[in-house]
Amino acid sequence: MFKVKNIRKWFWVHKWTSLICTLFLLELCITGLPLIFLEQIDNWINPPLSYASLPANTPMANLDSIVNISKQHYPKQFVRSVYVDDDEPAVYVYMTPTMKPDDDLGHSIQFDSRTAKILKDNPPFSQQPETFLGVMLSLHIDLFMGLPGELFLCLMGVLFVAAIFSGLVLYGPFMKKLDFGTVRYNRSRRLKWLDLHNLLGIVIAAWITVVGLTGIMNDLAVPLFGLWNNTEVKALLQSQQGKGSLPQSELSSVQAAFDTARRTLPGMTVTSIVFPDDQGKPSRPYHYLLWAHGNEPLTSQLFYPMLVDARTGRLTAVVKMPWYLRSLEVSRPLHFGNYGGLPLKIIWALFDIGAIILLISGLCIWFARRKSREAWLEKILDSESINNHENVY
Amino acid sequence: MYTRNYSRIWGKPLMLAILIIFGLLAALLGTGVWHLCSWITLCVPVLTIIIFTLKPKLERLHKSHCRYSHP
Repeated sequence: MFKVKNIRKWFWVHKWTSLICTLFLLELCITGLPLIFLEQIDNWINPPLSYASLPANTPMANLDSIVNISKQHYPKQFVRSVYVDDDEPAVYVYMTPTMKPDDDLGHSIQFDSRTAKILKDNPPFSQQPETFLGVMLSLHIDLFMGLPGELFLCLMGVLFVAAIFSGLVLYGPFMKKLDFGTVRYNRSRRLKWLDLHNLLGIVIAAWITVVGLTGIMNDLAVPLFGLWNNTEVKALLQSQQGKGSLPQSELSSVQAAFDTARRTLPGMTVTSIVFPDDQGKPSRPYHYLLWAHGNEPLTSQLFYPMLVDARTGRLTAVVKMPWYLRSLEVSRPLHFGNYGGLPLKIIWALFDIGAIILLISGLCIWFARRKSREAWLEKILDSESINNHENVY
Repeated sequence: MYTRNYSRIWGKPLMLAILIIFGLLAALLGTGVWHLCSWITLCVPVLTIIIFTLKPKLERLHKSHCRYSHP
């Protein structure tokens, strides 16, 4: 049985953790709603480019020629990475005017992966007009504040999970005399909101806990990748720290590096090749970094980084992903709800709307007269005192 | 008595939580028919909310309807 003193304590925890995070959580739930359908909305606003209709088994064009065409278009710029789309027959080449880490004039060229023809030469990301989804993403991820914003929202997530937990603790004593799902419409307005709050909260508790915890994980992505770069990746590249990069003209074949990676991890899809970069953290002056992933719903979320020496074209290492990055990778789909087709997305949206009503009902209860709130607490406490004489305070 | 009250309060919430976790994992770990299982199990909590919020209203509607038909 629950002690009276404990109920007071948990009620205090629930009230304050919720009050602090509610407005931000409300913002996250509302901006998250369109983001569930990110792919669909994006395809609707920017219809996919029409690719040349070629037989399905047409081989891919040589990546070296794609990179060379990009260099001919921007002879003074640097190729930073090549992304091979795993859904569409497209290859993207990302270039920047300088090798500086904070160069914000980076832009991408989209190729047809089979014909090596340029489909679209995009303006720099920083000069593209703000899109609706872009604004939603920034509001959802970092409130336009970069890393501090991410960490702040992470903290709000922690408070949210604490609010869920304390809410679950209070659910027991609250429901002692009520049947599951009772909603008292014929009593006061506040009781109606309270009952709705309890019903919604207890039914979607597991979902909001999963989305809350995975959201916290996602907000920690930057520090977690930083930790990995500064420990395991840095250890692999230790001997090369502080050395200047090879000129891009002297790098080994991109296509060969791509083929090496595919041979190393057969049955996986290699999606991107990051070029050597002596100004990154850690500095990676002589190595291509390639990323591959599996092809099942779960394994497609698990990435395998490989280092290929850009002087010899040989594989240096398949870099081990630590447990915290694996957890981050598993957290992504469980937060986005993008792994079970459109029906799962619709269910995700319904749960999200449920969460929005949960938050609003919590606020409504808070705004209701303090007097009646006190009365409600007293009522529970009274019934508890009757049940445990030994614990009367 | 204590255990009965406990399961009366926590029985349904626990079942719903298990259904949700099963639904979330089924779509992540399986394909094809597992996706269908996931969609069906995840609809249960959604329907639970709809049914329990509408139930009192429908009952009231039903009562007033009965009053009309049997004055």
